[in-house]
Amino acid sequence: MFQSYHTLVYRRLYYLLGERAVAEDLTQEAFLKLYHSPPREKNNLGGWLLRVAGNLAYNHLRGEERRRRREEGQHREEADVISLEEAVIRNEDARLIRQCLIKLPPRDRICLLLKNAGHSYAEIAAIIQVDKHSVGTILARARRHFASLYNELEGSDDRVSKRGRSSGLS
Amino acid sequence: MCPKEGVLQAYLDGELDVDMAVRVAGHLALCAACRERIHDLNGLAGSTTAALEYYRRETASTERTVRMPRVSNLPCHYQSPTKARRFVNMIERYKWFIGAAVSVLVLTVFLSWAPGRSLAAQFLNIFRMEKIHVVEITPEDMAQLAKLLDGIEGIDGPVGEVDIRNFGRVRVEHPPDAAWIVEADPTQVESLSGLSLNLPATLAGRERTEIIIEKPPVITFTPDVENLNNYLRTHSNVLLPRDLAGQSITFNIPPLVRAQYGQTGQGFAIYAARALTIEAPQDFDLASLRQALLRLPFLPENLRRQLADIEDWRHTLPIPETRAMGVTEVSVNGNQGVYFVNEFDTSAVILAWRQGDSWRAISGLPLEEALLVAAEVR
Repeated sequence: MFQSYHTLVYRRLYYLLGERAVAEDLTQEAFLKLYHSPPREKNNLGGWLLRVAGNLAYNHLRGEERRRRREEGQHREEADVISLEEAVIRNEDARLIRQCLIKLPPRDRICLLLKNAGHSYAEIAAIIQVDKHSVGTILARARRHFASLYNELEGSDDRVSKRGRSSGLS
Repeated sequence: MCPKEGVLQAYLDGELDVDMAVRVAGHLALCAACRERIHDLNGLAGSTTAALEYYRRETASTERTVRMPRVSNLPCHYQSPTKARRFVNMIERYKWFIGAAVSVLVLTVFLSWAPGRSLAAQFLNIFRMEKIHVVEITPEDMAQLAKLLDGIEGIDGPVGEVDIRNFGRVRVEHPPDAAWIVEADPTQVESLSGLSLNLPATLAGRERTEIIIEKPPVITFTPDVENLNNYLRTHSNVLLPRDLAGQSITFNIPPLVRAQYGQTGQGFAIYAARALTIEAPQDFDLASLRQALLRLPFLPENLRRQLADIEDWRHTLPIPETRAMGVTEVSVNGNQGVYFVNEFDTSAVILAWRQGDSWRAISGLPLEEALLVAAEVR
């Protein structure tokens, strides 16, 4: 049972962050939280862990964003460098989607991915720390942004279109 | 005033409360621009969801390199947000309806979640049964239901008592995108909708501006007998017969004709559609399902009583009357009809009635004028 939760949390973090090393670190952190301050309600441990994972991922991305802003100007754009991560995602379409996600602001990205993973507005609002009524606005904007990035990148990437499989963005 | 994009998005996602959803639906009935906006939002949701879902599966299949053995069966109920899934989210929010009776399921769908479809259309879709029955929902009922739903939604609060997703599966099949909405000229109406309609070029001093034919989805509901029984066992003695397991009932919703007279926002619209049919396998025990659902303890007593009192429930569709919307039964062309008034939007009034074996509705006209037009279109 422990292992299945472990996998659940790891997968969620990898999905949200797209980086294996960070996902592993934060998985450990989520379980540390579980040991130190377990939820009172035990029936939905999976749900609790996924919420914790969402919070950790969002905090991590915001930290990264701050760091990036500070360092801007010192190091020019690391986005163009093909990271180890990109090599791990063998599938080119998935890689393309990841590149788009990385370009989204943390709040938009987490909102988009959590919605896609089936979370309600209330759950998303709690994690990205906004009013529940703002989630619709953020979601619509994030989707539009994502779609335009995707179309831009897909257009510039011949290999993807040659594969003949459309990911469905029009 | 047109709703903001975030509100339309929330409407699409079934995240608005009942009052607000009714207001938005009422606005959509009258505003072509907003129908267009919501259609675009829906398209955007579909395409991004397809890409992200693909990404989610890819990231899940990239197994980690360390220790963890492959686990095939995760105790995870966060599954892919397909259309059906969104639909189920919606039902979760309004589980009181689905809990009441299977027919009420249809009502819920079209009352609170029908992107791009107008309020009148929703009611038409509902009415396809032969009779209607107005069910009064009091503010206390609403409060009780809202509390139940909040309990489930609460991020840190207790996990709610019931998870409606366990009660069955709902599948919604839309026609291919291009075939969803078709603009037609008067000669095509009959072949596209199966209805012979009198739609004069001018009515009540306004010119006909367009005729649109919409093809609604086919909805299939498959109750999860085991889960339902587990739940019912703790609360009552009435259980579902085991042989219901795996069987489905299908709601066939016929094409809807909408004729617009005058400019959108100033004119009115006429709607028509054939009767809704519910298909169930021959040995599907609809009566038992209804009995069991009516026993679900989270149903407010007032609602339970009213629903249970409907005698000819196989052919009667309950119409909820909420604070936001008044419903009056009236006679139209000598047939049974209803008149809806949305208190937030006085232009969003609807007169709906049964004509022969089909349904008609008029939106955007005061009752007296609507009755005159009704006599002309028949």
